[in-house]
Amino acid sequence: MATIIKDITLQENIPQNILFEKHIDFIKEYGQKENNFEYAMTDYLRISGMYWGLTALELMNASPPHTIEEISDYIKHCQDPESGGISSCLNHDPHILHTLSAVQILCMYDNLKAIDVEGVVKYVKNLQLPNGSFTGDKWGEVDTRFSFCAVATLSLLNRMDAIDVNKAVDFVASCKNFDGGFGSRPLSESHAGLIYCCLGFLSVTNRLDIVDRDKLAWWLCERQLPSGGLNGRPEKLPDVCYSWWVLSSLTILGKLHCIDANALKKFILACQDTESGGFADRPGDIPDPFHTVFGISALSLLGNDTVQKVNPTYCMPQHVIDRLQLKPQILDN
Amino acid sequence: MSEGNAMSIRIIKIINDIIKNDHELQEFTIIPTEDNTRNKSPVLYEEHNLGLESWCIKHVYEYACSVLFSQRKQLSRTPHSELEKLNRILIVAILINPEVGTFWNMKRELVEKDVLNTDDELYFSKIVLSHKSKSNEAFAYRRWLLSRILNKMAANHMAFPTHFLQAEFQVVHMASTKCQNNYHSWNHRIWCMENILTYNHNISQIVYSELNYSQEWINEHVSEHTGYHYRQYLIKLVKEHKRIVSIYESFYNFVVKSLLKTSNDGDWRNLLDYLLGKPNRTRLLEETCSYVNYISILLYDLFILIDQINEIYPEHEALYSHRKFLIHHLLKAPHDYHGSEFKSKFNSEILQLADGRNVTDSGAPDRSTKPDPSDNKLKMSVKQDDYVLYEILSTCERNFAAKNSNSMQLGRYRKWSKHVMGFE
Repeated sequence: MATIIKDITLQENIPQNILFEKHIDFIKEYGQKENNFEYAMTDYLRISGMYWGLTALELMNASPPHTIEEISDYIKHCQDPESGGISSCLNHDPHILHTLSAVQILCMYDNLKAIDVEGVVKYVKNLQLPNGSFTGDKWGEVDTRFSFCAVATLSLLNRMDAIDVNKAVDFVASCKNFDGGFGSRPLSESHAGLIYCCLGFLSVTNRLDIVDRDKLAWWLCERQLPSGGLNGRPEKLPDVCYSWWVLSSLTILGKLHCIDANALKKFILACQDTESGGFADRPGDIPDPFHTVFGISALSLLGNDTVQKVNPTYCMPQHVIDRLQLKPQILDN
Repeated sequence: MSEGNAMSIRIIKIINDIIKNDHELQEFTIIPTEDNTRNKSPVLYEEHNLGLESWCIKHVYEYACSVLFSQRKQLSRTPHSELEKLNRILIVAILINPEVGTFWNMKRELVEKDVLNTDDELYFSKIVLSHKSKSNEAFAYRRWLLSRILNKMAANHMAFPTHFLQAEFQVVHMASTKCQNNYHSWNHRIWCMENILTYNHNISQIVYSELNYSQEWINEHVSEHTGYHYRQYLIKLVKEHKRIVSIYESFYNFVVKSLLKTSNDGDWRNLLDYLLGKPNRTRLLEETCSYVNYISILLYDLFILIDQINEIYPEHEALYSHRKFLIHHLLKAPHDYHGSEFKSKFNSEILQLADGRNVTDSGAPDRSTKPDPSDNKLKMSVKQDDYVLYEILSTCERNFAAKNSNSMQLGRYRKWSKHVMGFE
């Protein structure tokens, strides 16, 4: 009988370690291509891109390519004085995704004073709908990602009082499926990325009690493929970013030991680009900062002590979360 | 004006003229080319298909961005005639880079100012989806447009015409076909059902035709979990929706004639009494109807739909996932019907004792297994044996396991069944 599992085969010469120097150069150079057309095409995710790159550098104990003042100044100029929200890039419209990324960066550098914090709080508060859900911006699109962004942002700012947390929890709970997973909206298919958002949300709000823990852990474990990599839904290819989303979810559930960690480590290390540096979604593909931060973070969760400890809820260095005295809920085995 | 800008303006005009004059455009695409070797217009237009050669994109996009972002903040003060010009640039900018939310937001503002109308915008976003079928920005824009239409109609107490829903389904079908496992397109289909269906009187019929559509889809896309998920959504809708009040004969007849091998005596309520036992309390007629449809479809899928696919295309995880859904909901159905609580008995010991191999792997040691001859009955709080449905499921699972004993997926499935459902 033919095997038809959608997966990849790992090559022989997989790096044994994280190629620090190459990754650091890769991230630093990525931020220097301002006149490049591809760079202009990705303006719409610039601040999130900065968060991925800068977090990766911090986890690798490397310094940022710009000064903290320069970074903070750029973010400051992306804040919309009227709504308080932060955009991906100068002249773009504010959005909750980039608002969170901006707050994460500034928390990492302990420089929240660079922006109008009350403006951000007002922005997030105004995006909550009567049913507890959050829209991404003023145009009304609802998604569980935005629920996570809202509570992650407000908790980092120590302003959870600004929103109706109980209603917000009710909405996320209404997105739960029979398999224990969560989707982007009520009735949507379970998806590992959105499961991370919902578990992250419940971890911040200390409401993991609403999770079907064992069922969900089982579903998450089923994401592991023979190559060791993890996918995000049944019969999809493995991808390093799911190493983060599935793994952080299992960590939050206290069930990290239920997957084959060695096989996954091997898969993640194989996704490193040995020439240009950086991690790709799968071995041999083109690397980018997005997969690089999630590859490094996943290795951190798997206990690799050559990188800094990462917090599974916020995907930020643990020392930052400790400095902010945040204690997102994590279940014990 | 630089040469590049003059060229960009020309290209923007050509593309806009084509979109304006051809209401049957099928597809937009960017054609990879090294350079302007032909020394001809980079816009290709043939048989309702529109192409743009990639060598010019850099120039056009940079020109479009320079105009659009310089105008962004002043949009509310820009005169009407200028806004139409701006839209022509927005069209091309979005075709090149549909991920930029700010461009779509500018369009939203133009719709609010009545510079653009919703029909044209639905058409434009469809063209974008022909190119980038996973663009959630494009789907979100459609939902925003459709919500405007729905709100207007509701305010005027008008019914939402079925053809709107059909047109939307066509767009979803195109996007689902072009990009497999398209989370956004199937999510959009569910959104349409949830938001547009409420305004439609034909709900029984539409749901029935969607069930048939999803069956066709699954038969042609056996490995796409999104397609099964949509069917699962429909099945749950059949149970929950109070306005589905006709019996779906094809599913019902299958259960009565093929599965139970009895004759259809015309009173479909007997089916529930037979499978689930008599209810403790009187149920409303439409509720009973919902249950008959619900259980009939679940059984039909279990015995026909996935069984037939598995014969031809074995080892598909997506198929096994659907099987899990069916078994879970069929085991739960008697409890729902009788109003008792259903709890699958998860054996969590296995998760605690995991030893670095993946617990769901059929090859991983199953240390929580304690051989117990009495253990092959369903471990649930309510006496399941009373239900004929339970016997049917037990037999079905046994036969399925025997028939697929060499299957790798079966090993994982049985592990799930045993540990997650407590059903062996």
